[in-house]
Amino acid sequence: MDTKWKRNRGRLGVLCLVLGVYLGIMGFTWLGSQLSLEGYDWRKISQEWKEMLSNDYQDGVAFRDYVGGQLEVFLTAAVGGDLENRCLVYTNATVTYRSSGTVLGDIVSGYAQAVPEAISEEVPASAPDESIDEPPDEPIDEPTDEPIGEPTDEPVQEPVDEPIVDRGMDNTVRVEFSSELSQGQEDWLGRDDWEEVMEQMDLDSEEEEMYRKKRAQLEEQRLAAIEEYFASIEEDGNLLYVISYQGKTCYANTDLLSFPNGGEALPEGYNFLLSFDGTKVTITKDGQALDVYGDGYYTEGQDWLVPGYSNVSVGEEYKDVRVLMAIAEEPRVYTQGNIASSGYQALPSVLYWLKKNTLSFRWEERKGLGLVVAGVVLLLISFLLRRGQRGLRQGVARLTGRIWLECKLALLFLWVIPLIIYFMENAYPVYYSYFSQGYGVRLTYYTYNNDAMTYGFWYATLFCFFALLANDVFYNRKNLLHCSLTAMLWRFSLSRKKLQPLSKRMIRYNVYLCALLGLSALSLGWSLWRLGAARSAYPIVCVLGLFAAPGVFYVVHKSMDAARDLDLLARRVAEVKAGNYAPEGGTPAGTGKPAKVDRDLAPILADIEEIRQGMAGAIEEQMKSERMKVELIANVSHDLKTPLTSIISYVQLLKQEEGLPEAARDYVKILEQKSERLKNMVQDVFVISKAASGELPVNKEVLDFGKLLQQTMADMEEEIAASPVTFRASLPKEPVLIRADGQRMYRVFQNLFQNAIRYSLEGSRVHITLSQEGSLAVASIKNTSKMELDPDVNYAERFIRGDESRTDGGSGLGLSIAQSFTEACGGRFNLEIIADLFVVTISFPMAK
Amino acid sequence: MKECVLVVDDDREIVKAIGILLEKEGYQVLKAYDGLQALELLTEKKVHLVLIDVMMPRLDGLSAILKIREKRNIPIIVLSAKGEDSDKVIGLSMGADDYVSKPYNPQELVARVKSQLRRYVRLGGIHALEQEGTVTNGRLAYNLEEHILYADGEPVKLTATETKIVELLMRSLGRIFPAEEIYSRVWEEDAFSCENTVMVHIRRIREKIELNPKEPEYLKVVWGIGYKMEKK
Repeated sequence: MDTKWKRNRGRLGVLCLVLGVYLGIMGFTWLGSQLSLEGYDWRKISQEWKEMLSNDYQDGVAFRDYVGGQLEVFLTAAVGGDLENRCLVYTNATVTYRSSGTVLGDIVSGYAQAVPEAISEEVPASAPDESIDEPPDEPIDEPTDEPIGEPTDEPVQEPVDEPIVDRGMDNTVRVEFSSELSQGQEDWLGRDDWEEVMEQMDLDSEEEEMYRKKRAQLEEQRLAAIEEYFASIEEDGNLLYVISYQGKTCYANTDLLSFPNGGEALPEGYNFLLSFDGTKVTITKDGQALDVYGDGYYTEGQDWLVPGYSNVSVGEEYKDVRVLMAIAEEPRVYTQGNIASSGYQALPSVLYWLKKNTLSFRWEERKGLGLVVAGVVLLLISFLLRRGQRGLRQGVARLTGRIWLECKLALLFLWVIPLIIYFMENAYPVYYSYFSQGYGVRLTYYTYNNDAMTYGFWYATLFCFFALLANDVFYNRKNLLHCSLTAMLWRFSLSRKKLQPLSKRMIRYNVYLCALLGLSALSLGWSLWRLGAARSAYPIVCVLGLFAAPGVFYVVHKSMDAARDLDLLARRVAEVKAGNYAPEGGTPAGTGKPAKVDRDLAPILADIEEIRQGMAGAIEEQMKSERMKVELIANVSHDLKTPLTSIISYVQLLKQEEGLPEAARDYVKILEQKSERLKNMVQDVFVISKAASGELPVNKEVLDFGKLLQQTMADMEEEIAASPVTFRASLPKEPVLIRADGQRMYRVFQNLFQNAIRYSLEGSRVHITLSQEGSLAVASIKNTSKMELDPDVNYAERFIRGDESRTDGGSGLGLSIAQSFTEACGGRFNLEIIADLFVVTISFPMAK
Repeated sequence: MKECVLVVDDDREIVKAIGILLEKEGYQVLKAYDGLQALELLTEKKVHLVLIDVMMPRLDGLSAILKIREKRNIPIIVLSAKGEDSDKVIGLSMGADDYVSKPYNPQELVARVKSQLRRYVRLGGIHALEQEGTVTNGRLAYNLEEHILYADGEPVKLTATETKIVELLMRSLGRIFPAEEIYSRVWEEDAFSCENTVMVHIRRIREKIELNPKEPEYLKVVWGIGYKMEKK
């Protein structure tokens, strides 16, 4: 229970971590896509925070900008200024009202984007129909309805013919405007001090006249534009206005407002009142006066863009303008016309859309915030559950540690980095356009942005990837390089360099070849694609590849087959070399299918098989003859025993016979000796034939090598004492344990000692030593030979004796038996001749 | 009373030689040249011991032993040209009491015959010596109270040291004693290069108790380890 909880706690913690990271990052991206991230100070953040939580659309930069822009239009209209021209000049430090110009275009086009159907008819009212075409030396054309020219990216302040509404993929709306005027002409015509300019330009009278006419026309158009503009907003009940100039009311769409006015005088349904007294603005909202100017300096996005700031000045001519603006608490869509007769036409109802967009934008913001909060909470939980995550992280690291480094790098370079670059490229224009295109565009981005979710998801995925990477690097930093394809290949090639069979190398070459072919094919395809030849050449390359691939596959397949067969071949040769001549029915284990007849190496394999069979036959033959020989010897020795028994018996009887002459007694004695020797020889021959055929029974046990030598010497004490040689033994005190058959080894040393006694120089010493050499116990017997030794003779060979005349007592099998018995017990028998020194060494591996 | 020994071998000369040898020792000898003949003789005559070859025509030695053992409990000594341990084991497990391989040493053969007969005839059965205070092992018996070793029921003359060694080994039949242990327990001194001393005594005891001291059956050297009294 407890351990279960611990384990689950770790899992839960990690789950919380991952989910928290996902939600948090998604929320942040969401918020980031909605909010500007630049130019924030604490005041702005707190303001935006408040606005975000507010359900009042009048709290917000969009509304403030709208009010400011509207006031600007009214001021311009009151003095009869030019609505087309931008009046707002905003630099880093100062915003000034110019005597003419308007942000009407901005406001209307920007706000109207949310209701493109509505503006299609209405918007032209704000944008004069005329066209001012050409530079001075060309005749003035009649106003034309057909706009020529190119769409520009800057939708501001151009005379609007008709916005081309384009709903983009990202669900934002872009509006493009066409223009007939080049920037220079437009500037020139729009200038207020144009008369001075004309003087400076030194025009002739005709031209001057033309421009005067043009100017007059423009004046007319300007006034017409103002009229048209007011006509378009007159019936919009969301905004009530009264504008007076020099005490005279020039524009108004209501009689509910009058100067001077207080908040209490607001009509029903209106909660916002703006009053301009010629220099400053007072705003009353819900009966309360707002602090419009704050510290007296205008800050973009935070303050009302109205005259009266220290850094926003207003021209002298506006001193006499009075404006009253009332704005509805709940804006609605107002319609124009009669449903029954002329058809229904929605008015721009800018405030309605502003409210709707603002509120929906805030809702999105809150959603993002919610995600962030949820993410943070989850992260906190995960932090609380951090104990028990270590094991899990290690487990994850173990898993990721098994992935080849190359795969990780490939993932990083082929997926992650391009993804990041893609994000950066795609994220940049969002902010770029935001800052360059003014408030209307800003509202464009207030619309719901689907991509934020997707981006958030990918950001979080990236984060997880990097977290995994960091985890991996942290826990596996030591064998990061170890687990990689390169390292594996490196190790592979290092370890197999010497031992590797030819076939494996061939298979490896094939693999390399395939990889190289694939790489070159890829690079070829890629370069073709990049070179642009792709359009036409790519299909051809593809088709070629389609045909070439099976070809390459076939060749490689054949080559692999050959390599495998080579492996088989090598194995068989190795088997034959190792002495395995058993006829091959199938294939050795692990080599897979037997070689097919149609393979390239099949004939060679068949040859090898024949050789193997021939060898097997020969070996069989040899073994048979060897067995026969051994059997023969065994049988002969057995058959010899029966007559030998009679001989010995009767010699014995003869010996006991009394009354034999002295000479006969000698003969009997010789007979007895020789029959005894014959008996020994027969027994030795029998034993050695058994040992040679490997049928000698051996009963191995752990014994003390030193004690064995001592016992043997003690056993032969009398013989040794009677001999003309002295035995000098140097044996270690501590036991030297080996595994051997004691009875057989006794026979070995008995033979060796007898040999030493028999063939040593009289009066010489026989040295017996036992020592440990590494893991070997080595006993050596050294004696000085009586006779000259021939270094070319192998004295351990059967029936070889130091005495060629073969008349001494030995059977000639002593050393041979010693050698066979030692080897049967698992020891090594070595005979060395150094001048007259006869050295026998017997070594056994030490028993554990 | 002359004990009767039946000698069976297909080699007539060997039978004759053994016959001469045993008659010289005072035994009555019956001769047979194959297994069937031997079985016939056994039914006709009173036989005290059988010496029998393994490889014979008509009925081989091992089969004959099995037949004899169906009715009789007399000692049987196998005489065979097959001298390996495995052959001996087979022969003894078939019911033979002893195994002598050819070419045999005549004196050893006579000693073995005597030994078997003494135990069978004189002591009237195999377990006659199993008394209180006596350790019996095959043809050896050691009386712990008298400190006397009997071989085939006859006391063996041993020196005091030899008796001590024999007592030590007889008390733990089959146990291997390193030379040092024998020395320290018998001589009651620290063992120092005692191998030769112990070996000399062992050899002397062997000459007194073994039928063939060169191929001892009882007092054996375990090469490289020590000495033991083989448990029969």
